[in-house]
Amino acid sequence: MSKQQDLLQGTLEMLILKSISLEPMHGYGILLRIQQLSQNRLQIQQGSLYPALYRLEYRGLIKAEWGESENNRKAKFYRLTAEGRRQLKLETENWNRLSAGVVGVLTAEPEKS
Amino acid sequence: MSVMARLKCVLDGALRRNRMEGDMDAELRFHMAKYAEDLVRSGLPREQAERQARIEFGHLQPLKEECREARGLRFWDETLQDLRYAGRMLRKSPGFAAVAVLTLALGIGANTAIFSVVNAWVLKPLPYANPDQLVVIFSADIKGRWSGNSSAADLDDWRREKKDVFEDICGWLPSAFTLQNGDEPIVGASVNAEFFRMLGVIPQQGRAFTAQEEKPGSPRVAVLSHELWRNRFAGDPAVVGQTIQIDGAAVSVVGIMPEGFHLALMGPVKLWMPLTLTDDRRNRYLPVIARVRSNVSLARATGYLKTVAGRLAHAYPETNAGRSIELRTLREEIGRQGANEEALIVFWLVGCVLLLACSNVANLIVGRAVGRQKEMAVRLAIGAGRLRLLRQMVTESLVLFFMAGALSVLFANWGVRWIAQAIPIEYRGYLPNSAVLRVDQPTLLYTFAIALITGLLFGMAPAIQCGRIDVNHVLKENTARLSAGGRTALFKNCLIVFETSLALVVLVAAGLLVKGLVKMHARELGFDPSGLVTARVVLSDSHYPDPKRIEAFQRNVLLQIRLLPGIRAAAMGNFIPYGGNNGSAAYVIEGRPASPPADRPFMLFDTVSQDYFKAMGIPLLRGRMFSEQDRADSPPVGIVNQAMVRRQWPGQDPVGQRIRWSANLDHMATIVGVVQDIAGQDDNDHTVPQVYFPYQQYPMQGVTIVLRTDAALQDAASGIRRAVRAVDATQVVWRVETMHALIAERRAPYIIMGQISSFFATVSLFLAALGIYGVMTYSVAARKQEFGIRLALGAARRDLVSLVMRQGLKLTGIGLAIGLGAAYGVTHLMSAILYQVSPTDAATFTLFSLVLLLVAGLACYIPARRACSIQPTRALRSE
Repeated sequence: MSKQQDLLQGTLEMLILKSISLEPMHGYGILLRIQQLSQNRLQIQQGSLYPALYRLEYRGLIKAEWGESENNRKAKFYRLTAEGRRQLKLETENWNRLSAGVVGVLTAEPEKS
Repeated sequence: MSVMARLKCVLDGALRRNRMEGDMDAELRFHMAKYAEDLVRSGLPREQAERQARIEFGHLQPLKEECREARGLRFWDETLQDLRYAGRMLRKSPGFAAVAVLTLALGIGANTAIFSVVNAWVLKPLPYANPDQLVVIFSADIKGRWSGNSSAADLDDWRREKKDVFEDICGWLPSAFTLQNGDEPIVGASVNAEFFRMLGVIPQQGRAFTAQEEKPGSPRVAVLSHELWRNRFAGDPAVVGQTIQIDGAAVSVVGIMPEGFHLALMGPVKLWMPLTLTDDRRNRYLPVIARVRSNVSLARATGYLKTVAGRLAHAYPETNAGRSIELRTLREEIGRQGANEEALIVFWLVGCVLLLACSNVANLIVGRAVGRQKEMAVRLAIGAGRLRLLRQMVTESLVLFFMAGALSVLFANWGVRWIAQAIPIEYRGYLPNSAVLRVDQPTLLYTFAIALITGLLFGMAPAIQCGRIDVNHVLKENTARLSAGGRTALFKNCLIVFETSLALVVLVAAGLLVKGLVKMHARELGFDPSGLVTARVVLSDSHYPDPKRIEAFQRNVLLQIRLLPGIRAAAMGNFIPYGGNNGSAAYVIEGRPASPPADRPFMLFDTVSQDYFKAMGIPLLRGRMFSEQDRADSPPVGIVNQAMVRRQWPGQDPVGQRIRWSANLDHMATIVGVVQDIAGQDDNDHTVPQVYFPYQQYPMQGVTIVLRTDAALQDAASGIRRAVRAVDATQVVWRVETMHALIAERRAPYIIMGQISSFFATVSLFLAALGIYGVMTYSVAARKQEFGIRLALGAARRDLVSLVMRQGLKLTGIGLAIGLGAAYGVTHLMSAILYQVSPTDAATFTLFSLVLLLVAGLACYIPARRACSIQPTRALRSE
């Protein structure tokens, strides 16, 4: 259980960065966006989002501001900083390379000996 | 960028904690509410939806904790916790805290204070442009047997031939000036016009001198020091261009130097006037300083000037035969006069003091940590992490050290002020950078860092040790038995040995320095300095081309001076002791085979008036003094000192013998008397053969008036000025000083050093005593139970005291033995700077070993007494 979370930690952060890359969002919105984009294939525990958000803020990749949500309630909106944008690009490239590699290995035909 | 973000997060959390918590709370609540709304929208009843949202959210508290940690706040929280705990611990044992903080602050403060002074004195670059190019030029014997000031004519020739080797060559002459009638004279100097340019310091207002202004007969001008300008002219900028009265003559002020400007060799000069060079080649009274061109090496400059000096020796054999020059860097010369080596020795020794302070605190911390093993064990047992304990111990040390650090700033300030005060005002001008004598910030930080590292190391040691704690064992044992354990005991024993030996080294080194100082003060001067006032007049060649006129001037001035009130004796000499000038010449004894010129012995000579010996208080041992009958046209006579007799006529009577002297041996004199040896130009010279001649027979332009008077210095000074003016108003009286002041000036570096070294010797003795006391108190307390048993079994208290004393003194003894060896090595390095004291002076070594033993004995005795005075039953029951 905890191992799986560890594995997800970096990934989750990448997904957060991606989902707010278009427009600032509050935590709940981010959660919905990730579920929607992954067509509900990725399930994220409601609360687990926040430590990741705080960590990103601590690292200076995102910035938080209080604003009005859809129905006029105060909510904290997160947006990417310039550095966050750079980091997202970097991580996306890394991820693509990694997954291409993994896919390459997994789809290889066993060699005949 | 991201560092800023991190900082902002931590600071936000730390400083606006409530707001941050509120924000976090609101954010999570918003999320839950939105989720619940969505669940309601998907068809769940509101109540159930809210419940489901809470469940899916998980436990709120751990989540929040995770969030806080994600923002880097956990470290902060724990640090706060540690700080609070450290504060509580220190409050609980205020004695420990006070001693530790005081010791450390004293060590750091003293170290910083002394290092600040040494730094200003020796290590900081001289406050002039490119100071490495500045050199001091001396006239010297071609064989390097002596060196000293130069003659005006020689200087003039050097200045003409500086070529592409020297940028500037300047002479200067110390003088005393009186601003208004009746005022106390102020220290001044006459300098060549390029002097300020050469040092690379420009006046803050107005200008320096022009070459024209040093020509005779040009209007008189002066440059003021910032201090004089502020104190006497109320800092009024309009004074530049005004005419002021100096020595009764009108002088216009052309410039004001910036604050703090001075040249250490010159002393606390407050007024500069242009120096007019005469064509006098015989009297050597000008110190010379020069700037070598940047592309010229010291060796090349020396070589070049030596050839110039060689040409002069050839051209003017009468005055310059056998004369050459010597070059020293200004830095070296100031260091020499400012006792460079002493300063460095002090620097090392004071490092020892810091070491003592650090080891004392280390001892305290370690001692306490052992006492707290049980606490550690309990905390480990209930689940504290070992790393967490380590961090907490370190925090406690840090708190101690920061408190000490704050206090040490105060101590350092006091220390510097104390040292600055201990340096009499008239010496301060002889220290480079002395105007800025204040606590040196980098030094304070550096010293503090050293102390901090020690604190961290020793703060950590016990915590690391508790990493090895066997919790079960410790919880079962009692504290006393734990602390008596092998490793700690060894550490503490080593500490006593270490501190004793270190303190002994410091004490012995300081003791030797002070002993030298005492010896210097007790030195037989051979004359009586009390009530002596001296003044110097150098007659210009243009006014006094003729020996007869010089003689007449001297005779008339003496007549005038004898009329002054309160005069007990008045006389004239030329090269008086501690006066900064001396005359030397080669000589041969008539009737003995003459040696080749290069091998002829040298003697010091002086030309004096007949009352000179009486005025100076130099006893006549044989023969007669000079009298009215010794005139220019009578047979030439001389009086020798004891050193001359020892050298040339050991065990014989020299009266009636004849010597030939001067470069060509064309002067002859019959010895008519023998006087006692007297001190020379400073305390380091050993008595050398000297011959006195009557001034009538060898009139010289340099004249030093010597008065034995009951009058105050300023009355004597104005009297002398009046007397000289009455005889010849064109002649200037330089520098009226008491003999005591002249001597003090030469001794200043040693005196300052003695004061500083006795200060830190006292501190180190105190620290060592404190250290020994601390260790003994602790070890006695740890053995309380054992003592209780011994007492119960019938041991006498006396026996217990001696048991403890034996233990302490054994360690002290080992420390002393090591310390003696170390001191032996260290003091050897000091031999060059000790005034007539052997670096292995047995008395000093013995004395301070005994002092230390005594102090150590006392430091052992007090805790021993205390431990043995308890009731055995209570000791046995106590844990």
